[in-house]
Amino acid sequence: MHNSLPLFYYPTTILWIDDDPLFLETVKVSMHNLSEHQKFCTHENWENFFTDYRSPIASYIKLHAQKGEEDYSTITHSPVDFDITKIASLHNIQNKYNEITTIICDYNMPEINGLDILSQLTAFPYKKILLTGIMEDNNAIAAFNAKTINRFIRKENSNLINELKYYIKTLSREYFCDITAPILAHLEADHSMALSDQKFVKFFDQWCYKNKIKEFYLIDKYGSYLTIDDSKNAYYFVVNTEESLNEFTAVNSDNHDMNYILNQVSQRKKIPFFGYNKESWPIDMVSHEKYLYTPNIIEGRERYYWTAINIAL
Amino acid sequence: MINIMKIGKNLKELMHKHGLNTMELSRKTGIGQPVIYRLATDETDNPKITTLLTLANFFGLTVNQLVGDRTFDKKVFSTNSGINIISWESTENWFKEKKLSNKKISDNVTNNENIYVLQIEDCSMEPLFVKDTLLFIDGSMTPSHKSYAVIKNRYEKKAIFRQVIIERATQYLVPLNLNANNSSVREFSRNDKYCGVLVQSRRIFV
Repeated sequence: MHNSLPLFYYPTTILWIDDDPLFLETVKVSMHNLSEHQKFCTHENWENFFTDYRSPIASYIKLHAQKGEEDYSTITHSPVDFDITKIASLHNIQNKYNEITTIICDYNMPEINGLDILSQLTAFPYKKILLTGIMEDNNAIAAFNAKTINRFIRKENSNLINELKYYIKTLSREYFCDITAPILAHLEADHSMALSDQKFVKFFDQWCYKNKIKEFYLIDKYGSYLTIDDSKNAYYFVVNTEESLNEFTAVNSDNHDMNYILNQVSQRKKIPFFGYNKESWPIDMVSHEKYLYTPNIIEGRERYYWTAINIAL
Repeated sequence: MINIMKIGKNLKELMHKHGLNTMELSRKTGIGQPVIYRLATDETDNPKITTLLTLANFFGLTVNQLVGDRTFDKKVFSTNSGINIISWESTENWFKEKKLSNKKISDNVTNNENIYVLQIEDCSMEPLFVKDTLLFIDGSMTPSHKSYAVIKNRYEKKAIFRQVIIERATQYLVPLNLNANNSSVREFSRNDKYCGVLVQSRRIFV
């Protein structure tokens, strides 16, 4: 279980592997509300599926070696850079919903059982759920302890669909946490981010639930997100910290035309947000005031000042 | 090896000398404001050479001058080979534009490094200053009563050239030819900025 937020999240695809066409048809209908994106394959063609499958976002989210830095040529340092704007650009990728995050596989299939299939996929980050019968419990427990699978559920369970929905949601989130954890660690190299603060995580999750947010993408180093709800309305969830606000006032301290703005920010009556990937200095100072927002406060590991801004995508 | 120990002090001094704050310097150089702030406050101990070069070029210095002890002991502009004519759009940035301009006139008038040259484009200051007259402007001077000055309004693209009339606390910007298009007397406002004072004019007949 992760205690942090992923750098981005959006609805993804569930892959079902089962030999029973009737069961697949049933879950297809039952699960439609949770995920519009489902793929189905049988015990006979799952290998072909993984041979052909490529994550649609694989080339976007990675650290880049800073080959231009002089320390790059030394044997003890490896300078890297991460461009945060790459994350927000994901929302424009049309086929991103084809990303497979969770595999649900039946244990009992002819020729090969589900555990053997999932065992062959342990190197991949997909989350794996095994559907078992009564007799397979011990094998499933052993597989869970060995981290071959992430969950197992009895197929005869009367609450099967609801349990599956809950686990799929939880595991999809964990998938994004897993794949973005190295980048979060990189971003936190000089200062912890709100994303790893339990109280902030809890608040943000509640805010997303309340506002029916289905997708979110990190847009800056402080923990601000571009969020999109289930009606495709977009909001910037803007976060500032004491440090980020102090830096804003320090950087602009020699600009006396900004005294009013700096006062407002210093007193924490307003927080600045000049737009995604924008800073104050290229923007005409006359219009600076319209980029100030009244903040709300979250008391976590530190104090966070946040606001939500409705935008047109 | 470059000693960068003086970069913060030198940068602050240069910004002060040119009346620039970090935001204005960022806009003029394209270097991010936080980058300039950190350089000016000595928080960056390993700046990029491209950043230093951009700043040095902007101020008409070498990188060694920008980061070292002997920043301002060399004349920024050589006037032996002439003074460059700059455009009316770039008067606020005359210090840099003067170096970049490839339109040059022979100068035997002055060795003052603060001099830049404009060429009159309209008839708003006739009959004294006709079209194509060269104006030698001292960018470091501020106008007194009846002097001729270059004024840039933040909302206008081009600077203007006007006589300054000072009455008590009010400064008026006066065109000599009130019949010219867009010529009218107006007060100097807080959105205006003086970009220097006329020290000499020259007409070219051939």
